[in-house]
Amino acid sequence: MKQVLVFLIISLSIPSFLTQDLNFKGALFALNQTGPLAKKWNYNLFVSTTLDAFSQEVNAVIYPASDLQLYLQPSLIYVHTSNLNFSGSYTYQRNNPLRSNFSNEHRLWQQVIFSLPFTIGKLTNRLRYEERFIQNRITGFYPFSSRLRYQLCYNRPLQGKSLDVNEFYLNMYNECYFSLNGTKNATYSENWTYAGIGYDLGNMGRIELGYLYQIYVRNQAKDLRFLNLIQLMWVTNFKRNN
Amino acid sequence: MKYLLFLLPFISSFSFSQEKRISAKMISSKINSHLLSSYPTVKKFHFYTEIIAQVPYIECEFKYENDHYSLLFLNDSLIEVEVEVPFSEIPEIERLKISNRLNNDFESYKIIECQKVNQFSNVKYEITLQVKRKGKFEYYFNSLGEFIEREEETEIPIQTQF
Repeated sequence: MKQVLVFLIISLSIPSFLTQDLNFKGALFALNQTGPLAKKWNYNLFVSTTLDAFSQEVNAVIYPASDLQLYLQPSLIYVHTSNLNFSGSYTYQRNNPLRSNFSNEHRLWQQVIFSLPFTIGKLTNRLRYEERFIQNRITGFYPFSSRLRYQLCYNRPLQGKSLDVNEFYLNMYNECYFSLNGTKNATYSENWTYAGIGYDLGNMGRIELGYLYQIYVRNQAKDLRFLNLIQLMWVTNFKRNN
Repeated sequence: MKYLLFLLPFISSFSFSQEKRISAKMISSKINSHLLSSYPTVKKFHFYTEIIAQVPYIECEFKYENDHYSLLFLNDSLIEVEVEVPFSEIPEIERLKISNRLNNDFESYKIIECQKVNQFSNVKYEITLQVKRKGKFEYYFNSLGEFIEREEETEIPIQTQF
């Protein structure tokens, strides 16, 4: 009985000794530009940088305040109907871009977006398949891995039934990430939740401020990394002159 | 709404419309009495203000006898009534003329909305089409089913991030 009790006490204590979840706080700045190329075709350029605002030491490892990620995503959008779009992209991502331990990622992706009216807003479903080539700094190679992402998004005007100039709107989403093959820490590897308030500036586009919460499985032991980010984004949309 | 569309070209490029939901308490007794006497069974009216070129309009939306209505008021006077009607309810001669025009323009299309503008005088029909590989179009016909104009709707991409 005594042995069982000792075993139970040790077993239950293990997680508190070994769990190495990390919690970062910072900011994400993004630029989101869309414009027409042809009648049914549009381009989008999404650029962002993610900053860890505070240095911290966890289990004798120092995590300095720094730029965590640079993200450059040009994409082509085919507008099949106003409720159904298809897109494809080549995306470049650089993790720890200003530090010596940086790593590059080249990514191709294809996605379908389907939206439907919900109350006075819009509910949007996005499914994206990614082919990822992430740099291994030890071997110098870019092994292939793939990922599936599903995003459920809701946005609605906050003043009236449509968004007009000088009015506020609400935007929120949750996205699940599933690593399919290649090197991975977990199949269900990431989850992002966002809620923000935007403001329509008219010809200057829209400005959006929100809170983004990212959960990421950071190693094979399933330790997690939590990112608490204040997100500031400028959205511009050039329109076709008819 | 159609009345506003006709006004738009005459409005300075610096102006814009703003639409805001407003409480029923802010509606004048003249508008209220018109609504209650004309549509006595309606339980809920939704009101919006729409400002175009500094002029405030009041828009009222509601469902009446299974049809969706949109009324536009200026200075407490009714200036336009829009009601959604099934395409099949347009009188046969006018409907045939409209169909001929649409069939002439497109091989295949789907009518996604049909509205009768001003029920009792100066009637017009506003018809929205979804055309395969071409997008959305709005057609305007007069009470005799004669073509007035058409507008092509620009479809913008669905906004997402990352």
